[in-house]
Parts: sequence; structure tokens; C-alpha cells
Amino acid sequence: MQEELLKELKDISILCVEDEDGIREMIVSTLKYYFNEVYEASDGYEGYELYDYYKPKIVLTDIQMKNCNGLDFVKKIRETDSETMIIMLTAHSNEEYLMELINLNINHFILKPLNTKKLNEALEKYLIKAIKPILLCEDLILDLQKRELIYKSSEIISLRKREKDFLELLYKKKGSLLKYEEIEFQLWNDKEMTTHALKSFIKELRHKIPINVIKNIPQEGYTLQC
Amino acid sequence: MFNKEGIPFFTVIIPFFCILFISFLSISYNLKLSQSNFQLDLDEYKKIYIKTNIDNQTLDLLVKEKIQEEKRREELFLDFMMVVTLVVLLFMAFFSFLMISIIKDVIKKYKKQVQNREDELKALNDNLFMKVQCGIQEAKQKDKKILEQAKLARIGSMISMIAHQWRQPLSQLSGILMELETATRFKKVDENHIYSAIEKSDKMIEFMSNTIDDFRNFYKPDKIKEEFLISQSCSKAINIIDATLKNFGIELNINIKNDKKVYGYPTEFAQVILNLLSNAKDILVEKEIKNPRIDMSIDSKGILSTITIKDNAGGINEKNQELIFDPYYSTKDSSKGTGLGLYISKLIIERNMGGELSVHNDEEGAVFKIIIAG
Repeated sequence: MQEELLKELKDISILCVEDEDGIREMIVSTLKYYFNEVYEASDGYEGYELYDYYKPKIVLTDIQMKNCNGLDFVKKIRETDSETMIIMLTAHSNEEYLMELINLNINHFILKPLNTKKLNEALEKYLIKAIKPILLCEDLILDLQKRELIYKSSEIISLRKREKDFLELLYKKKGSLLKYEEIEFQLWNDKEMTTHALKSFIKELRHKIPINVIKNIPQEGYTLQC
Repeated sequence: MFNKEGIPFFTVIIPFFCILFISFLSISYNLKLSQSNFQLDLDEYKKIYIKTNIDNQTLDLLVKEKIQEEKRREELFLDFMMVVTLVVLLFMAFFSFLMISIIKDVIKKYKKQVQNREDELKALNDNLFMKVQCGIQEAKQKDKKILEQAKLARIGSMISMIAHQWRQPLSQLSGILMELETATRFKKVDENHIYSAIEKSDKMIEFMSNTIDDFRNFYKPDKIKEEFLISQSCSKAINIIDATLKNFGIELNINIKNDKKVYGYPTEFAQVILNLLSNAKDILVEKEIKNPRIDMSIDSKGILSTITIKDNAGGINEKNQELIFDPYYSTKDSSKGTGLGLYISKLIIERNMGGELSVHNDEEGAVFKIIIAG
């Protein structure tokens, strides 16, 4: 994997769910080299609690576990969230779950035993999806990796991290609404977001972009306008 | 013509005898009648002649003549009678000959039939012998096949148990290597890191190697009887199957109240325990029981030790309860069960160790009970 790609992973959070302590320990300490934020759980219940709290971008889970198995866990996640990348870890004998997993729209399937190659394949898949330039609207392309906007394929506007994240979120909510609470949760992390801070942030961003793509819906939030 | 079978010669001949008898009687009566008539005639004749005054001499002469005439008639009649008798006799002889030949024919036919039947029987007998031989051969072959199948099934289940036993350490080993590789990649590896990884790996490898040894020793036949602790033999079986139970989420509770040494074949005993545990696992998985559980208890009172293995899978159908120890009787799918496990277990416990293996249901499921003297 390319070094610059690896760097992208640093800021991403991952949740690892595996019931065998020895195996989970090894996986988690491996993941810690790639990610700053690694959460671990030993079954589906614990996993869902952590997922609900931290909303990790990637979930790596075993299928066969005591208590709540991986299948139920993934079902619960997919009820509300179709974005999070889900990587399933499974032993040979669990092929019977395959059908259900396909319908649950999981992103990657790893046959145990897990090794570096298999793990990298899965992570690369995430990165390729995550850093593909996004066509925000006509003439405006958002390059996530380089963190810049390209206008009419000539003018390059560099962005700050929060600005990039905001545009990305806005794109994900294309056709619907990006609410204030979500902005606060995703971009301000755990810090409190004041209306003033948000307003000045939006104002600055609008000033940078030659065309107006951010539309304000009073009392609610923002939406992408083309 | 006279093809009526079963009519005895005598019955045929009786009417002829009757005819003969009647004719003789009538003839002899006729003879006697004519004799007495003649005498009467003669007397009358004499009287008439005396009245007509003929002298005695002429009368005598006349009488003599009459008597002679009568004698001649009698002779004629006798001759006729002789001829008649002869003809009848001849006819009878001819008829008898005919009958005899017919009867001979019939008897010959009978004899032939009997002979045929006998031949048939003999052939059948010979055939039967062959058939029985063939049948025995076939049965033997079938037995062999089933035993072979049982062996394969056992190997299959053993391999599956090894797979379960190995999956976890293999995954962990792979995890250790992955961690080490990643650490190297991020240039964060140092000597201690490597040593600790090696130590962990060694542990895993040793565990796997022990597993293989356990399995290898498990199916080695015992040569001599020896004293062994019941719990020790049981734990041999548990070592083999615990990863499988864990994989299916089955809880195994072991309760040792009083452990005891018994005299017998420890490995065979462990095989019985494994068989009972494996059966319990199969039914728990098949019936998809929630919170599957197997309770095992070891207790001893006096010289008797009791081992019970109990599941919560709902128990054995009453109809099957008497049959499950019979050879080739299985309640499982033919691909999974050969019907030999419990049969062999019973043989081991009852014949080789002088114990008792029985089963009953309690409110939760089947309870297998081994009672052994030691």
C-alpha cells in the first residue's frame, strides 16, 4: 500500500469485534499501527454499543460469536446506516451466511486466518472509495486526498480539513438535508459548536468557492445546490 | 382309458367276483332243483306205470333208461358249466392282466413324479445351500462396508474436531505474524517485540502439537487393563471435543463429586465418553436448542461409580429408547450416523468392563448413565 494512502487512515476510526481474546488482541495491536482510533468489542452487543457511541468509519467483525453474532450485529447497523464500511471475518464453515451478508450490503469478506495481505486489501478498498475525487456539481470537483477543489479543471482552491469534511458530508447528503446537529457531531467532534462559529465558517468557505453551492435552510441546516 | 388314479385293484375286481359267485350259486341251485324234480318225476312215472300194469322188469328198464338220460343231461350241463367257468376265468385273467398293467403304469407314473419331486427338492436343497452361502457372503460384505463407513465417519468427525481445535490457534498465529509484519513495516519493531511474538507463537504451536498427540493416542487400542481415574479418562475425551462444543456455543458443566480409580481400559472408556458427548452435541445442534448445555457428573458410592451425561435437547423418543443400543440403528441421517456408536459403547462398558450403560429421559433431555464397579 502506498505510504500516502496509509496516512489517510490515521484520522479514521475503526471498530474490531471478535470473541477470541487472543486473536482480537493481535488484530487490535496491528490496527493500532494504521489507525489512531481503534475500538474493540468481544461480542455483538458490546460492538453495537461502541458503534452507536463512536460511529466508526470501518467495522471489522467476526461472524460466529457467543451471545450476539456478527450477523445480527451487522443487521442492526444496516438498519440505519448504509455508509459505514463493514468487513466480515469468517472461518470456512460459515459460508451459509454468505447470502444474508450479500443482502446486508457488506463491503468486504475475509476468510480466516487474517493476515497482512488480506487486511491491506480490505483497507485499500476503503481508501479507494474514500479518496476518489467527488464531482460536487458541474465544473467543481472535490479531491479528498489532496484536500482541494478544482474549478473548471484549471483553478485550484486548497481547503482546510474541516472544510473538506463539510463538503464531503454535504455531498453524502445530496438531495436531502445536512442538519446542524450532524455538523456539530461530525466536524466539531465533542466540542461545542456555536452558531456564530458555524456562520463564520460557512461564510469563509462560500468566499473561497467561485460559485455558490451551499444553500442554507433556516432553522434546519444546509443542502448542496447545483 | 382306465386312467382314474387311486382306484385300487380290489375295488375293480369285486363286481366280477359277485357275478361269479351269483352264477355259481344259481347253477348249483339249479342243479339241485333239477335233481329233485327228476326224482319226483321218476316217482310219478313209476306210479303211472304201475297203474298201467306194466311188469316190474320193464319198469326197471325204463327207469334205468331215464336215469341214464338224466345223467347224460347232467354231464352236458356240467360240460357247459365247465366251459362257462373257464371262459369267466379266462376273462378274469385277461382283465386282471389289464388291470395290473394299468396299475403298474400308474405306479410308474407316480414313481416318476415322486422322483421328479425328489430331484427338484434335491436341486432346491443344493441351491439353498448355495443361496445361504451367497447370503452369508453378502451379509459379511455389507457388514464390512458398514464398518468401513463407520470408520470413515469416525475419521471424518475426528478431522472436524481437529479442525475446530486448530482453528483458533491458527488464527492467533496468523494474527501474531500479521502484527509483527505490520510493526516491521511501520519500523516500530524491537528485540523484545520479536521475542514476545516468538514466545506466543511457540505456545500456539505446542498446543497444536499436543492436540495432534491427543488425537493420535485417542484411537490407539488399549492392550492391557489398568487402574485409572475416571475423571482423567473423561478429561481425555473432553480435550478432544471442547473446541467443537465451544464452536457450537454449547456449555459443558462438569461436576465431580467423588472421583475413583477403576480397573479397565482407559482409552476405550474415554471413547465411550466422547461418543456420548458427541451424540449430545449432534442432537443439540440438530434441534437448534437455545442455550444448549451438557451436564456431566461423576460420583461413587461404595464400589460403584456412576457417570451421567445429560443434555437439554428434549430427550429420546420412547419408541427409539429400546432400539438405540442395537447395531445399525440410528436416528440420525444416514450420512451422519452409522448406528454403531452406542452399540460399541455398550459393548465396551458391559462386556469389556463389566459395567452398565443405560438411558432415560428427564424433564429436560436424555440422561445417559454409566455404572461401573471398581
